[in-house]
Amino acid sequence: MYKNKILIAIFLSALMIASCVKDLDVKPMDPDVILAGNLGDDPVYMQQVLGKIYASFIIEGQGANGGADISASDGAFFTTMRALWNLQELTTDEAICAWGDVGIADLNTQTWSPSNPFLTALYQRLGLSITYANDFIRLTKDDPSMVQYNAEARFLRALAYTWFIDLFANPPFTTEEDGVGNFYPEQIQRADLFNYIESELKSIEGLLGEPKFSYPQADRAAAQMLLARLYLNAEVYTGIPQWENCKTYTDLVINSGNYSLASNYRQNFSADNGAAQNPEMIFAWEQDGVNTQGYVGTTFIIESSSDATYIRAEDYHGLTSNTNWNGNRATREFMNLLVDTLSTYGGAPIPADDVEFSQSKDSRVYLKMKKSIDIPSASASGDYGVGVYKFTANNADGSQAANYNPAFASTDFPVFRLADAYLMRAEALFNMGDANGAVADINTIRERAFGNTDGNITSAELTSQFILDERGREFYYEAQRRTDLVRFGQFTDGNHKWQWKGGTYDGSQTSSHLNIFPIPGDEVSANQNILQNSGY
Amino acid sequence: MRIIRKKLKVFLFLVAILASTAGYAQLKTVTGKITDASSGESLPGATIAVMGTTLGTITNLDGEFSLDIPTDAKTLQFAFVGMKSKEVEIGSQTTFNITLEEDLIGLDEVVVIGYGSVKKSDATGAVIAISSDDFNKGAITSAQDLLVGKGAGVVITSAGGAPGSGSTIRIRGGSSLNASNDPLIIIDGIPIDNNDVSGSSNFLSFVNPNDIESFNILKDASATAIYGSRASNGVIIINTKKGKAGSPMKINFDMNTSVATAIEFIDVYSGDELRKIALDNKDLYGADSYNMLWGENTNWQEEIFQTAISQDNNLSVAGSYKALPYRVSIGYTDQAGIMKNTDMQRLTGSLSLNPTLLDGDLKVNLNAKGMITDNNFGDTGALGSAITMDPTKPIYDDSQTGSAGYFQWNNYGANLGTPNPVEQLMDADNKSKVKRIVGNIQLNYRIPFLPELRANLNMATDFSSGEGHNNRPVTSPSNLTAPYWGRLSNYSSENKNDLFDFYFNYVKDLEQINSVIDATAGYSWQHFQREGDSWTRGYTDEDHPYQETKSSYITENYLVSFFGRLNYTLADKYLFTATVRQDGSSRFAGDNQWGLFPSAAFAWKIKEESFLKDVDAVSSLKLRLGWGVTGQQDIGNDYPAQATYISSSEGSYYPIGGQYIPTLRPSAYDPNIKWEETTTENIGIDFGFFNERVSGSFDVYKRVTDDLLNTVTVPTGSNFSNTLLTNVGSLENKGAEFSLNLIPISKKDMSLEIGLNLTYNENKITKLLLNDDPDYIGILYGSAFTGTNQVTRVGYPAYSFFLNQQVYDNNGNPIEGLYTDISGDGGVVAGDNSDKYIYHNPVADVLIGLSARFNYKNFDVSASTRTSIGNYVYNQVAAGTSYDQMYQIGYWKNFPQYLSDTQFVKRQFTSDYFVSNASFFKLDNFSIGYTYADIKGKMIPRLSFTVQNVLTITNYEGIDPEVQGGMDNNFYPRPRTFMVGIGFTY
Repeated sequence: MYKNKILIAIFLSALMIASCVKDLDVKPMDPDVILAGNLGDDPVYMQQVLGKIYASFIIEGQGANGGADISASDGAFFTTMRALWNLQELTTDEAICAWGDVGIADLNTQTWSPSNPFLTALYQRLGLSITYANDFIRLTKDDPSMVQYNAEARFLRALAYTWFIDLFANPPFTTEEDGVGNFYPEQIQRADLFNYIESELKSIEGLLGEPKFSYPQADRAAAQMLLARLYLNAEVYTGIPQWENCKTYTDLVINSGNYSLASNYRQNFSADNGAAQNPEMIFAWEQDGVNTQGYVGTTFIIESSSDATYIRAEDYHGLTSNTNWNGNRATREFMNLLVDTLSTYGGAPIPADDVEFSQSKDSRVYLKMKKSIDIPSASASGDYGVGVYKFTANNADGSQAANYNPAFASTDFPVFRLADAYLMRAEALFNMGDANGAVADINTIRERAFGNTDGNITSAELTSQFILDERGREFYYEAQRRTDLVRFGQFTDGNHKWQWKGGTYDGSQTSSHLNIFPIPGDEVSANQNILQNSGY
Repeated sequence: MRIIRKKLKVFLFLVAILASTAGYAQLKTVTGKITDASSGESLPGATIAVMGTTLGTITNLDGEFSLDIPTDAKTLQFAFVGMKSKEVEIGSQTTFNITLEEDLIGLDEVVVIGYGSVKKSDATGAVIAISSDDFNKGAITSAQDLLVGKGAGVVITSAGGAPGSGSTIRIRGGSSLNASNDPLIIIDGIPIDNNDVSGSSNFLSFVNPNDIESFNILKDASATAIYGSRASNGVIIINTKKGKAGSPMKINFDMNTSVATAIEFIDVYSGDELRKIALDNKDLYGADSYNMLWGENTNWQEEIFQTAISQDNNLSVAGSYKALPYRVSIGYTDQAGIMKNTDMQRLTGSLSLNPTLLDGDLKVNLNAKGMITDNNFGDTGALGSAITMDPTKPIYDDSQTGSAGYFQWNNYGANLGTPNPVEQLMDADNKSKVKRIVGNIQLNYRIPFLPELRANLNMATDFSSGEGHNNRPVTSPSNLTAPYWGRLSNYSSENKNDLFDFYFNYVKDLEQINSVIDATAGYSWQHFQREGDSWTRGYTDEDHPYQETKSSYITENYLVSFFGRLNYTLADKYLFTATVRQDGSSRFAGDNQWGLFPSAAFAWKIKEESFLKDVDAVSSLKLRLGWGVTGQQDIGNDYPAQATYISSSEGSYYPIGGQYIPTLRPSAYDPNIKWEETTTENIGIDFGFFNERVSGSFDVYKRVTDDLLNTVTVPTGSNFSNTLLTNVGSLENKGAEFSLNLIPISKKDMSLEIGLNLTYNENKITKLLLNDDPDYIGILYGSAFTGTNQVTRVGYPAYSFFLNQQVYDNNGNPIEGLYTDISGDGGVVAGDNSDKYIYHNPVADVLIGLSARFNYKNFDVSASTRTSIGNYVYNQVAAGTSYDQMYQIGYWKNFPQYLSDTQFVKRQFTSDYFVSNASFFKLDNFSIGYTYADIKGKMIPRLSFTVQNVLTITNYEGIDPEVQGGMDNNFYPRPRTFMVGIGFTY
């Protein structure tokens, strides 16, 4: 009896084999993981995929669920905005960083190599944002209900390509036609890429939302500002200036009536700098103490510029947790430009008790003298130099931010604000021979800065150098300086020098091939189609 | 597969019914004497058992016995330690004068192989069997540590000295770079998932080392290939102790108490020395710096260590109840760490029942093991803090507010400087509770109408759960709790694995052609499911409530396999083995889902040939040749071939349509990802001389892994990350192994056994990229803070050190920042990858294990040693030291005195100065025991004394030259442990 029962049981067990082979076809069980084929199940999914393209510029990744977007030794360190800021600011007179991390010193002194981790991360992350956008554009291109989202993704792709064209010149080129896998994208030349970005932006201009339709999503004005910035730098990218086009698009933004300068310059760098409270903001990367957080973006700018002694984040910005990283500060050359020490102090030494340059009439001065104005060595502690506290985690009136977090700022990182439209137009007009028009735009900016007409200039006082300097005064620490210096030929030349440029105390001329960053060594080995930029 | 669990219940019920069918009968008395066949001496204490019952006795001092047995009893079994046991038909006989012959040591030993077992003399693969006699002694809480230094080709490195911590096992070097290099471990027929639950520090902790009977280690592919896709790194089969049919109840109780201490501390500067450095370097640190030092001379390392006293108690009861052999055990370990506030308590229990039913046709093997462990992990970061904390500061400073009475640097100092190590360690509330239960039932049934055919069924389930928390008070420095003030952090996870194996085994003795056929064919199904979640919350501000971050995961995979093996033995001289396994893994898609893994082996028992048969000096000689292919699918991701999107957690949202919503990120994936395949060739010789008093084996092997999974940087724009795990590379391991067992003394009162094993392995990467770029620098390892210092490059061993070549002055001192410009490009040399070179690697070239066991009457002494030659270590503790880091804006740091040697002002992470040859000799343990063997009494007490980690001889300057992975970064130091044990056997 038992024997038979056992035999039956054994053979029944054997029969189960066939059914079990099917088990091999598994689907993810995690509700946080969605199969590509299931994106249509809920309309919010496509919003979330679009949200990812935006977020990929400003935060490191998916948080606790999926970690950073790229594998690097530190997620926050190598997020797009943070790496971009380092490449655009540390390489210039506006900032020098005290930290000993690999790659920092090379940026301070313009001695980077293709293995620099910051330029590698930025290159990879810009490419990744483009790949995310390509995927979204491919998924939505035939869906009539997705036209506007599709255009936003194309805007974000064009924006990433614009930073590529500016920093690396000749990136790998992919569009929604390329798939995902293991292939070797082709390299595009700088001038060809210029044409591509231009045509993309022009074709989506009419598809994007009305200005301010849903801040901080990209709208028509954002595309116009990006076109203006592209034309502003057209000569650098293609050899042919396009000032008229620059003027055309800045006109569209300025004349639209949708934006006005914030009465308080600081509003642009405070927790309430979003479009809801700030009429000047055109496009920015969201930061929020609760919802969109990280040691990136404005939190990074604020904390890396704070220290325990001179600019305490607790006192200046209301941030109390994990504060005062004591890295970034400005050089004496930039101080002279912003404070205009010669006219402010009449050639006399700055009084030791006026550490915050209170005698300066320019309200844009958010500088503080530290232990000494001079920075004694390229890697000297952040206690030396001129501290910067322009960005803050408080509201513009000093009150606490709405979604306050003691570790993370809620201050959005401005990409395009109206002041830029004025100064771009001023530069275009100046180059088109209309000095009076240029002066009018510059004075618009300076009247806000001085609170009256005391800072106004005349067309006789207007020079090319003044335009560059005014951009420095207006946009310092906003990740624009390197682009401006390159356009004016002063990034590597021997005339404009600052402490530790080229690795010397008073600064020295560097090689002009440094106007473009090298393609990362990792990319050159990974993709046989990519040729290194000349000089590297 | 819920159906399997139901079936399990049915089978258990059947077993219970069948077990109760044994009956009683009339008795008769048998008597006799047992003697040694060679000497003729009587054998006191030999056992006599009636087969198939619980009846039995032992001989008296004169070797005589008397026993009442049922009249229908069929067979008597006579046994004595070191002798071959004998089974005798009873018939009508009542007097049994039996002579027992000395057992040829080892030859009849059975080694367990995949889905079966063979006599060691018939094994065709490279297999090591290690039984409990050979295990390392001492306060051992993890099963792996029993084996350290015991097997050629088996390298076990403990993660450190933390209570209950695990070890990594490498068999013949690693066959993967990114996938797992752990061997497949099979315990009582259950392949164990190496992915442990969170909160557990050792995936084998559910096995009480005291319950282990033997380890069988399968090294070459001809032995392992029957496990197919999980066998590339070897297979370790662990069998636990079982009750024996017919043996009387035996109770064993062991109590061990051990005392552990730290062996040495890192030499750091004292308070006085730091004050002197401050005075001497005022130029560097600035005028105010000296005033920031206080007057203490705190030895922070002493403050965080303690003398740890631990207990380990084990009770087991084994025997046979009627026809039901059983063993039950319970163990309790209370282990304290040598760092304060670290400890572990573990309770283990095991039950095994292995009756033979239906006149021997059905063998049942039922096992259950359970474990509950409480871990207290403390904060091992305090180790590093104790080295760098300013020694001029006191532990406590009542004048401070908000620091719970401890001295702490102000907010800034602790953020970028050093938190108070005592607070860091003592105020950590970092505990976990791990539970696991593993059970299986194996049925082995001889088919009644075809007695050569046996059917085997094995059903198992393995459930584990871990939960824990890692909390800190609000008075802790914020760098320990960032981004919060104070921290509450909880996690939990659960693993559920199920197994179903079924196979037939057919053995036929074909006498007419002088052959034996042993064929096996079967099917295996396994399901692994892992899930867990965690949350962390903390105060963000007094005016604001808690903030919280949460995450969770759930994932699963299946393995479905068909396998077969054919053993063919001709004339008991020529042995052929062929195996094949067809494995399906749910991790891969389409055509890559199934893989075929074959193997073949041949063994020639040369001793059985006529020209050797009569050579007495040679007791065994066998040549083995093996070839096989194995796979690897444990790649850390269950869905690597599918296009998926992953949602972001709170805090990583973005506003779309005016609402903050989670984002969905496409995950990088490779639709064509597949198994790694390792092909192994092995040639080996097993030999024995002088009645196996000298025995051993010698193997040479080559293992080539193709389709090696490597995380490569992908061309920008081609995938959803900057890197992708894909099948691009290959690597090879070549090596030789030698093992030798010597028995110089083997007398009744005295014996000496010496075991020696020697391992040589050479690892080389042969391909790493899709396109063979000869300039490819390799896979670089390092951090943003230290730069790159290791590389995996074609032509070199994996994880080679990759550094700048230090230039020295005439006195042999390193010149700071000066390195050879290897590329010749000029410019910055320090840290530039093009100026670095490959300088040794962390893996030893040669490992030698030597152990000895000596018995004299009631005394026994054993010792085991290891020698490692050619392992290099990067001393990260030394590399982080520089004068400029000692003082920064108001806070001081301390450093190890290595700084006095280098005199570096700035840190030089990329100097090869910090890599040194860490070859070592270690006396791992030394044990002495006394067994009070009064055979008349029932109680047999045993006393033992063991020292672990007795002695290390090395030139390496750091604390311990044995560093997992070769980067010495302050791991939990291995203690020296003294243990006193007392045991009773009843």
